[in-house]
Amino acid sequence: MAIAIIGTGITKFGELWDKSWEDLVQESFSESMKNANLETKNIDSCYVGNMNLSRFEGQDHTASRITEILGINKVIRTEAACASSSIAMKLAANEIGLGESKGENKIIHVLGFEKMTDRMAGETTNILSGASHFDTEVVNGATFPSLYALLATRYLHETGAEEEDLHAVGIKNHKNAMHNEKAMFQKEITLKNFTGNIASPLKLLDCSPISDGSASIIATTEKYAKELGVDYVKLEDIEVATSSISLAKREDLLVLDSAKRASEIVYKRLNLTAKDIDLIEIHDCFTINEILCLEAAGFAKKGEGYKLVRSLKPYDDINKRESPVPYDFDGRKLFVNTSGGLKAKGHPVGATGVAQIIEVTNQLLGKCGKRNANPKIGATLNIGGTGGTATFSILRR
Amino acid sequence: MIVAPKALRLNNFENIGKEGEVYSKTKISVASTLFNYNRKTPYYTALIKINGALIFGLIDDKVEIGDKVISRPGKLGKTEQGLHIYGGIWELKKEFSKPQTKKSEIKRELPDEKIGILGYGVYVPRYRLDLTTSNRVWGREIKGIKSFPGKFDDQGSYALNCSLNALKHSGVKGDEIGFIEVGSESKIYAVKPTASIVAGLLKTENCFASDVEFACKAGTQAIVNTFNFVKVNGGSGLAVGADSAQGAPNDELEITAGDGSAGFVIGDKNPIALVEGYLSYTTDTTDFWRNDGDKFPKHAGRFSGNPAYYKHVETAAKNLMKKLNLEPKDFDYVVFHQPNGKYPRIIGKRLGFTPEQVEPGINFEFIGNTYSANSLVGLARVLDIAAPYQRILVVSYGSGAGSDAISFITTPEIENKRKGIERSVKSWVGEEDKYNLIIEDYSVYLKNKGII
Repeated sequence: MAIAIIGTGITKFGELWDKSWEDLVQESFSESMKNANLETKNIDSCYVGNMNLSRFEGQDHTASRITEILGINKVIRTEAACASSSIAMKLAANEIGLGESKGENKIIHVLGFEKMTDRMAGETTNILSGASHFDTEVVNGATFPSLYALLATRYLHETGAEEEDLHAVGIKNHKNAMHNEKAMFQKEITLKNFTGNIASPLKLLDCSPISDGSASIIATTEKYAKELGVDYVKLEDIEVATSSISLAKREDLLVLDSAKRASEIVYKRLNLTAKDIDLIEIHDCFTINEILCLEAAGFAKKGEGYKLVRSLKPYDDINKRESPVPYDFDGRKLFVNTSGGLKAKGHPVGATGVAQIIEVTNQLLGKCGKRNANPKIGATLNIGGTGGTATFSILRR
Repeated sequence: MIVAPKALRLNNFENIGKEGEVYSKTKISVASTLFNYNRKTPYYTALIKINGALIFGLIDDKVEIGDKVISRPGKLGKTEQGLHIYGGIWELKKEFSKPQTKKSEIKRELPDEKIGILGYGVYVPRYRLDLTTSNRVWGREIKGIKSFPGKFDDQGSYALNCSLNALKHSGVKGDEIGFIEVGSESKIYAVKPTASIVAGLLKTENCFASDVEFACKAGTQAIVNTFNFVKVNGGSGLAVGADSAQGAPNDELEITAGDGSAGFVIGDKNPIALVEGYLSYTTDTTDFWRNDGDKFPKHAGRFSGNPAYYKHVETAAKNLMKKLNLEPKDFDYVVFHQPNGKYPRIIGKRLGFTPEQVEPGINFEFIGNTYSANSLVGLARVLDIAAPYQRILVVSYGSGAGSDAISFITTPEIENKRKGIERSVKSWVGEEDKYNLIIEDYSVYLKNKGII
């Protein structure tokens, strides 16, 4: 059952030292409400996705605090690491769908936010590592980059991919962010910038940044959206799947099986395939993961995702092309991360899932200005941890 | 960040001794501050395949996919509450030199009492400081090398590793060990015994476990105490000498203070060497001391020679020979505490021992002075080559001051059990298998020792 996205709001992502997390939440919410032309009293409930307000800011009981800030008196918080807010979107869709079956038109605020820069970098790395298996991975010195580096090492070993194929993902996403004023980085990069080992083979620019940001969506039934007479986009379907939190326990290390299952379920229910998708916001927390996500979501066979990236060759020319830069997917254009992705737009972990849906919504509405790719069907794939959680959605005008 | 109850159960020895193959690996240059991992950068982690399943592990080597690796106990880190965490560290599986018997025609008579060493094990980290690299810093003109800790080493990991090696050689099961004593002057905790961590590794609970301190002679003290425990109670015990020896920068001790450990399983089931007799000599002589809370010991310089080391070692050795009615020629090997290369050789000569008796037990040139482990690693080195029915004299020295003298006679079992030893002491100290050593400069030494 499709729901309607009738308003979106997103803060600038970045190192926002002059803003508190409350400021950010208020800002994205106000913007989304303005877009939807609604008032707070119209909101029935709010689902808020946030990974770790308690360790970043010392605040537990997030939902109640959000009530105090926004004045919405039914708030539910969800947590699934970097997939926290796409889970919130899923629960909001459930509530809207359930209401609709009873003849109700629920209006729901879906919020995702994270304030990560109030901690020193080493501490932030500690907090983020909580999304991996504590007793086996964290205790043994794992960091998030190192876990994805283990995937990258094996991927390069098993396939014909090379390190510069990973870097090309970053170059493209930075190029895409050039026309996104909300992005953390609006700066072109080249292969030469990939220096500074973080966790081999991943260089600093293969990693998404630590960022602050908040993103809000106002959703309701399609029927009610029509009554309101607002511009809306249909969230046709959204599904969540989970898998083992440890890399070591994954059935096939290089298959994001949660993402594969979530996307297969959605494709099947909508009778679509990856070939029908024009644009996708995908979880490029590290460059290797854009490739693994493309494979999991059916855009390439296992071990062949890097070939899509190679359609960008020569890599030195990426910055000379028009932004957004598409992949060549079997002879047609596939736009991936027109927003700049997590890599260049920024990755305030709790905000990312909602931010992805906002980008696709605005693309479908043609509200993305110079980076508009004019898609007919868009999708999002949001990953929690190293693939322990995945949310896949499909949107259409 | 870590809540106390969780931190209290972080030691995990589940994978120790397992072998596997590197499935994927990464070199980490930026670590989290958790457990002080930021001090270990760069370091490697990997996914390791064991019987078809993957496990995540820390790697103490530069590895490639497909490399064969084996897990040993190592220091993972330290929690915010100051708790030391130990677990499995993976390193490349290698073939090392094995000990070889030095044949002998002489056969000494075995003592009546059949309690002695059932097995021994050594652990010395792979890192060696090239002392010449400190010359520019301090204006010295010295040469030589000494051992120092790797990223995953400390006194605790030394005790764990040598204990495991000793147990393996002895053939005794961990839960059969009823007594553990760890001799050290660089204990990881001021209060909480390293011995209890060893007991955790060995999975023995019905066990007396404690640490013992008497400067560099705590290791031989542990052997004597273990012997006496077994004599009264039967069964088997474990005596360990383990130190990450302390010496302040630019102090004379810095030139010699090394890292290492040795463990001895003592019991009455098929010993490889029997305890023939022992005694100790102690006086209130203050030549070297460290106050509670001080990071480095202080010492009395030249005073450490005649009134301290020589007097106590000489007296203990002479007293034991007199007690057992023996002369220097009745011994095949003699191991002295070796705080430098000079003292053991001079005392050997003074007492009437030949270089043939003294030299086989000297490790100093390869690892420096490993404090409580010093004479124990020397003893292990001699046991590696000793034939059956040979007599070995060990004389330790601990500042403060005292000397323990112990006489052992080897049994035919020493040859049988030697077949099970995978790595010679000569390999551990780096006289053999030099390829395995990592020779580093002064800056890395300072970092790994925790001085910078």
